[in-house]
Amino acid sequence: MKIERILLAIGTKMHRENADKVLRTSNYQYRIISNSLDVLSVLEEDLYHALFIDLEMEKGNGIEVLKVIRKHFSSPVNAIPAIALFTSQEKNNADFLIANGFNWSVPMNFTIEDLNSTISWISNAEPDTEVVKKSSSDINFEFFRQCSGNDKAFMMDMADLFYKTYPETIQRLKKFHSMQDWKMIYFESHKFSAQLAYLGLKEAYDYADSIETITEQGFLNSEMIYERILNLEKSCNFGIIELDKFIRQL
Amino acid sequence: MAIRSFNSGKKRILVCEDDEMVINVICYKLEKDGYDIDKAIDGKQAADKIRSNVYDILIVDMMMPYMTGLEITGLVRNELMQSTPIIILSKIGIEETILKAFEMGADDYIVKPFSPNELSVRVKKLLTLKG
Repeated sequence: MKIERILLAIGTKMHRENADKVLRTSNYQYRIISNSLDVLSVLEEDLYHALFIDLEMEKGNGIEVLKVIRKHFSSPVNAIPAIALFTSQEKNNADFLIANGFNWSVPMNFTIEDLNSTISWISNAEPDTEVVKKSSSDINFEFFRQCSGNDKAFMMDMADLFYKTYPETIQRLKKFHSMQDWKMIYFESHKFSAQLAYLGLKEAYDYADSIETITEQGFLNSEMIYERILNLEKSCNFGIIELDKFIRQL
Repeated sequence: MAIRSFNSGKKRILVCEDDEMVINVICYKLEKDGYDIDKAIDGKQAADKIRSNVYDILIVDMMMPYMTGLEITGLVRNELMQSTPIIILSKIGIEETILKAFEMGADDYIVKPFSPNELSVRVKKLLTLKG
């Protein structure tokens, strides 16, 4: 996904000025706003490719605002890449942020290098057209519906659980990859593939299954494994949107 | 350690599975079937529960932290000398692994992803066979 338009929501004037100074040196179109309520109204009216959001703003913090976006906005806004802006190291708790729907985090007083590396990462992490096209034919929720006894509430609970946990799983896979801990990658992908099979996310299942097979057989091509982890993430990002649509239509 | 039994009148099943989604799918179906369900989210917790409670059937995932499904089966059959029916769940469907599970004393083996309806039928059958 190409990132061209960025929305930033920052509570303090000093940090808004810093962001403006950095963004002026970039080629991105951007808008900086100062409170969380504006985030929702701006996203309702305009399309942005990434959202940088202050964790502590007046009238609802960034975490609460993102929850509303993820839960109540329709596609593609509900899947907008979200980057947490934090002022202290304590706030940069990756597990916590991922569990709350963030894709990445940067310090509030970010530099142009921080901005570029973040955009680069986000661009790779988001589903691109090719993956979306391929995924459409590789999703079948009938087994999931059957396993859930056609119970919409239960299916929604399972979808919520998956939405909450899959970014953590992907994050763990990336962490184990950086540690070259192939045994743990094998274990994680083995477990994850069972979930994906139940949900009917076939393409994502195939990626998880291939990571499991590669690491089990000791064929340890680090780059290939990392690429498959990224593809797995893209496929899950797409799959959860489709799953949400499917459940809403029941 | 005193062994605790349950008197709800319902058959009691211990589901040992560390994947939250899979355990939810299993428990959802078996609770609807009217069983009394207990859960263990890793091998150690499973062993502790098996040592201190009485169950009518054990459903055990093959790959769990701390203890595998095969180790749990070994504990039940060899150390505790219990004949409680055991169903092994695994994503691995290769013959060697399946045979090993049966050799260790498992009563049934289901490859993931399985239909909860299929599991339900197998549970019912094992409970009938074991009286």
